[in-house]
Amino acid sequence: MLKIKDLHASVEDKEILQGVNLEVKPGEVHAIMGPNGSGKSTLASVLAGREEYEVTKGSVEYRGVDLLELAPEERAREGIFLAFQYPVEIPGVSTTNFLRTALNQVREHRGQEPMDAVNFLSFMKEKMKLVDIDQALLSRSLNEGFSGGEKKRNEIFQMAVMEPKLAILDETDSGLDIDALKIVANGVNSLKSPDKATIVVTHYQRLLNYIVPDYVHVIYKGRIVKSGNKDLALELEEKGYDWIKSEVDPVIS
Amino acid sequence: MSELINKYFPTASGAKTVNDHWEAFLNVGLPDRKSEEYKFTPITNVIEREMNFDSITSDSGSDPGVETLFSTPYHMVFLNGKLVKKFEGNDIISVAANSDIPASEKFIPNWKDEFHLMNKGLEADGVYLKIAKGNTLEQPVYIQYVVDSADSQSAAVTRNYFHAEENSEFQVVEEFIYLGENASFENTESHVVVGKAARVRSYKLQLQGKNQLQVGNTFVQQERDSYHKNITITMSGKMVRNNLQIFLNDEHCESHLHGLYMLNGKNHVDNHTTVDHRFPNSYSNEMYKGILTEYSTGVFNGKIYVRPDAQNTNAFQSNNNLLLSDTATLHTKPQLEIWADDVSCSHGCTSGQLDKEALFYLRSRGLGQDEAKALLLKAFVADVLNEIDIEPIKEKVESQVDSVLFTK
Ligand SMILES: Nc1ncnc2c1ncn2[C@@H]1O[C@H](COP(=O)(O)OP(=O)(O)O)[C@@H](O)[C@H]1O
Ligand SMILES: [Mg+2]
Repeated sequence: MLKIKDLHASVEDKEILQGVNLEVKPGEVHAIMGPNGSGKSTLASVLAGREEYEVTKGSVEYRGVDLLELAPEERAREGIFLAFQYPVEIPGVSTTNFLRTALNQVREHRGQEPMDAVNFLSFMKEKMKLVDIDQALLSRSLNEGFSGGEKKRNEIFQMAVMEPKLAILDETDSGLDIDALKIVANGVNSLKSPDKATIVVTHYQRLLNYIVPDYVHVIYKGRIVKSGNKDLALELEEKGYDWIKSEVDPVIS
Repeated sequence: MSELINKYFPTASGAKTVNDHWEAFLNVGLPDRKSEEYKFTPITNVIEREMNFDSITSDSGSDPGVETLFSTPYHMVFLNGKLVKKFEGNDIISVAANSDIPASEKFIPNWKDEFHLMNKGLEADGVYLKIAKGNTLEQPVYIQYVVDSADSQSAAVTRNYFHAEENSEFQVVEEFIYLGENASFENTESHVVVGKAARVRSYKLQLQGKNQLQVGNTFVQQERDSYHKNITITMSGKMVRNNLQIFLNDEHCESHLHGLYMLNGKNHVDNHTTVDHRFPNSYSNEMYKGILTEYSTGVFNGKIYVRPDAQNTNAFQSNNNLLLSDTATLHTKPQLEIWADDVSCSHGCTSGQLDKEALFYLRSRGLGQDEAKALLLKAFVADVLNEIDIEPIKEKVESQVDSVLFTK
């Protein structure tokens, strides 16, 4: 489904990704971990098409097409969804304002009929239950004055509505209490299917108790330096990242 | 003298003759390059460059029947400055010609603007509407000013008077409409008196057109305990100057001034407003927003005077702009002159671009670039649109917001 080869990306002439290799197959859940500033969000942003990141080398193939050629909206319509680490505040625009348009763009792209307001409402209600989110929140200016948990829940809610093929969750767990964490994980798990894949970016192992990954990768200094199964996450939880740093630093410097 | 009339305003057009005030205009003339008030809007140059008044043919048209935004029994139409459709008065609203204003009416302020002096010196078509004491006019007065420049250039001068008597209420919508592609010039004036405890909401709309030059003066005199709200929306125009003057002539007045300009191509729109607090205990609130793209120019100048007697004045002003291209030009200037000491005033102007993060967010959800921009533009203008109390106008303007992204 996704093949990332030797991906290098820079922002303002600073190379952040320095050769990422990763393959994700349908049905799989991959966890990406790593210390702060190692490039996790950069990778997520490059996959979603954020334009200020310049890809200087390497390739990304997604379902047989060159992903890097596509505009952000085309990627979304092809089934990529990014749950933002820091969801942006947009005064005057509510979730309900844009989500039906967004969904209908995706549906049109898939050759489906647009959803009318009535059907959309009942569809939305169903998804709201899934992540236990209030309709009032969805009618407010996006993320303005939302608590950390509300922002993250709103991201997962949107994901549930968009039904992506490849979901990328960027630190959706940070700032959540255990109940919110379970709700988010439950939302993600309920969307699992053999033709869909998820990349979970996280700093802590905690979330992976609820979203069980098939693979765990560690990013450090812009490349994947270690991969394993879910036990790797437990090992990281126990030992921290220092042992990885001390393993890797002598090799790359 | 006739040379000047012919130069600035031909006998063939809407204004037939000059009156006693013409001499005063001639002494002043039109603003030249040194004019402080017209510094960023060189309208005289543009009139001289674009207009050939001799080419204008005298026309005696009838109501062109242009599309209306809503229906009301109080509908009037001007065509090239001539009143071609009006309505009959009733117990609530009286209708007379602007030449029949009784001497007791104190409409005309002492105002220096050159175009006001010009307007004053010319005979012009127009009406004198009065809302009787204690009454509410349920449906708005709706005036359409149609300029037809399909066959030749066109010029128009109009002057209308509205008086809401004590404790009465009405809304007036003035819409400027352009047919044809030749250049046109209008000098238009509206005088409003908001009587004691009366409530008036006025709208000035220019939603289309391309080659119009216009200077419009609106004068609002507010009496004790009165309420006034003006909304000025300009979407288009080669050069449009909206002068809006609010005089708070007694205590406990409330005045709202809201404006929106959304410009592309080489459109040029200038909003000059004045709020004159002359007595204590009044409130004014001004909010103008602009979206500028391509080679357009926006000008905002907001004067607030708080006279020595006007203690306990509350006056607020803001002008926020989105510049969507680096070839668009914005001149914005708040001008507060405060002589009283116990006042609460604030002003602020901003100009910026669309939030890139927000654009990326919306695009990452599948919205196309233009759709995402349109959504953000709508959010930007929402607080002005929400001030529009006539739903069809609000819908129409809202539906046109994203048209600024595409050259007309
Ligand atoms: N837009 C940007 N401009 C400048 N530096 C950036 C930008 N985005 C990320 N970086 C830098 O790139 C590095 C990786 O950041 P990021 O991908 O956010 O890390 P992570 O998500 O793993 O914490 C950091 O050093 C960060 O400061
Ligand atoms: Mg991050």
